[in-house]
Amino acid sequence: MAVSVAVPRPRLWATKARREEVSAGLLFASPWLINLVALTAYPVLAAVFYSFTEYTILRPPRFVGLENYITMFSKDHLYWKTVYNTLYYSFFSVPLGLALALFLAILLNQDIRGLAFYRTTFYLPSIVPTVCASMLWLWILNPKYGLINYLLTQVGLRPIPWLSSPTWSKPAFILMSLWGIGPSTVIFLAALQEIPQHLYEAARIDGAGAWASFRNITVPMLSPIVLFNLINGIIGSLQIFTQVYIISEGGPLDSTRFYVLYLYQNAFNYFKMGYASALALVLFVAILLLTLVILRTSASWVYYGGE
Amino acid sequence: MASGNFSRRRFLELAGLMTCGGILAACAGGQATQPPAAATQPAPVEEKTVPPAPAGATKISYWHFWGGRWGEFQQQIVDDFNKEQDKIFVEVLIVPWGDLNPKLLTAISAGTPPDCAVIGRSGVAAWALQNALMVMDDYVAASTRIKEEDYFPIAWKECIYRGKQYALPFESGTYAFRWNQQIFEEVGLDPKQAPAKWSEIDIMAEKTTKGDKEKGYERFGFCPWKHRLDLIGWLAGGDWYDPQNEKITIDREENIRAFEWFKQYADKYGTEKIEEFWGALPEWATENDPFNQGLIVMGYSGSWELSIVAEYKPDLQIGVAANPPADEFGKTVSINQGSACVLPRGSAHPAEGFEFLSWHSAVGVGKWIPNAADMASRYDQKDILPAIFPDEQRWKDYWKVYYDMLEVAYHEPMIPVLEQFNTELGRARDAVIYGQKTPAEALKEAQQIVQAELEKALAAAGAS
Repeated sequence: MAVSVAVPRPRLWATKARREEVSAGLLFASPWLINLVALTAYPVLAAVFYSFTEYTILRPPRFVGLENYITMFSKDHLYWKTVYNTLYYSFFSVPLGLALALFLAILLNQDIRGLAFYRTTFYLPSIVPTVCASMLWLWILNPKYGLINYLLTQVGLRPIPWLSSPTWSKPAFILMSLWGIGPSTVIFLAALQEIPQHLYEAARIDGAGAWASFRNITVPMLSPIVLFNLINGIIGSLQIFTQVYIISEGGPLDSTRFYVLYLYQNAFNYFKMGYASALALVLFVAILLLTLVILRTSASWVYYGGE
Repeated sequence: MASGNFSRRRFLELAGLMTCGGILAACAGGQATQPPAAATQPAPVEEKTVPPAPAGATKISYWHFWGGRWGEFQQQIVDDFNKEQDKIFVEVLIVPWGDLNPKLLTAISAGTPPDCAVIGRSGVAAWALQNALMVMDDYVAASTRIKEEDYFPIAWKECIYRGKQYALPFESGTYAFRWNQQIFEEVGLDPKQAPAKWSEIDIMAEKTTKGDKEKGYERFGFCPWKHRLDLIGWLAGGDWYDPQNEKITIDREENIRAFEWFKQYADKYGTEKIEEFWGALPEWATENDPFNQGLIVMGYSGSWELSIVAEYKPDLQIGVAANPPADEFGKTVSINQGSACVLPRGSAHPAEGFEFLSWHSAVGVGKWIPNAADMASRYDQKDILPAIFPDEQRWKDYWKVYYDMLEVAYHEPMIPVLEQFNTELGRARDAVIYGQKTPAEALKEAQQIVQAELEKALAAAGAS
């Protein structure tokens, strides 16, 4: 850790010039500040309030205490199903995505021709709007004419009924999520290029092979980025929505009824804004706790250098 | 799509989505094997000079949900109204179907709703219970244009909730049974002979289906759960809601009988293979429409689906007949659905809004029907044929069958929890066809859930 030296900070409103500077600064930041306060902070706080009410928007909210939470945890016949589905999806898509992104980043970090083309290609899917990607994946996953089943049958495997089967629908979405690993690949790639070459040279002189270099240099040096991508991945995957909303609407047999889809249905199909707010709040707290736990335990596997 | 019953609602959602599909096809190059359907292509954008409002006219805002070429048809009708008189000038805003509920909801609660709007008719009860719509009784009583006896009762009744009128019917749409005569002939069935009851459908389905539950299917005759679930229950003699006592009746014996029919098909043809086949079907309501392509041989289909045949395969020899009911019920029934003209609560110009809506519901809709290939809600317009129909007697005959069906149609349950109702029916279907629950168990569970939701919604509306 760097030693912090206490620098006396000039007080904000000490002089006229300083005051002008601060107001100018605030003025310039005001579009963002207004956005933060009015469009982010206020709705978040309002959701906390509404989660204790029964609220259909058209009628004034009615305070119901903890009823929404009690319903959620003990009465709602679908709630735990959505939790299970979402955790299932997250549990597989995040680690798979991380591993694949890292693998791709390493490939893209090689000194080969046409690298810029490959990088663009792998990043491209993540800038396709999710709605369009979903329509495209409906084709890719088509049980008879889809690309994936075509490949499966080419290698002698049986075609998989992806979206029409309660068993395969979640794996289908996991597969689809792997298509969007472009951003984490790019982040990994940037981190790979930050690793000082002299470490590899020193290792080579000491007789380390490719695997040993990877294991003892690349992995530790990348671990903060793994942590970052892991947390981002978990946050993103627990909020899976658009593709499910378009492709499966929760079916078949509730197998793709994910948390945020259910939240949306409660809010905008059933007009249960109070209950939907409670669902959102629980998800928020769950993500917060999960992130804290990962951050706390990360000390044992993340290497920040210099220690 | 996972959902097999191709409802009007789904149709509208898809129409919206396909706008994106068109963009996708453009950027995906060789990937997109199907050109986007003409039916769902956004109409070419033309620079149109909207005639200015005459001085002194009251400007009113009107929201509807029809995009693409339907949006153009609406605009033409509104233009006609604006030209016909000089007191009111209607300005249109298109809010896509999927956004309509949230947008209208927030606009009404913010006190800035449109002066008038068109919504799905099956939503009238929910909006009315939320006190989101103005009661129209006085306007209707004073109107020279609107008379109850001009309308099909089923369309009119869906605009009235707890004795008060909240809406005027716009178009209608209903279900009849259609089949592919060419395939009937190929497999040795009489192409002119419609099935009269479920047991006859079963025989014809078996004859026309190609494939089996091991290898999968190349063509499917008929699958009962790929239709409106509520329709199948009604055709078994069931019912879903008792409006007198405000009680859900999902677990009625006849409804259970309908779901047992699903079970028979699940056992006989294998759910997995049926679903796999359906999942691989080309997009409905496009030039590759599975019925037009002869991949699905027969089914209960919406009147709006007839125009898909007329548009993409006008030479296809089809039959259209009354909906075959369950053998033991023996009476044909149908569903009517459509949209409704409403005055949102807080409308700044309700009188002018009603003036336009009454014209829209009585006169404007007459210009809508031929273009949009919808059905009328008024007796005096039932002879208007969709313009897309070829000039042959058989299309007139088909259309007449649909109007016969309108006379025996139900409307959807007028409950504030219709969405939950449909969700739970879909879940019950899944549980039955995947063999997780018996029809009785599945529908009993759905009954309990929806009844509880209904009581909650009614109590909440009463409490505030």
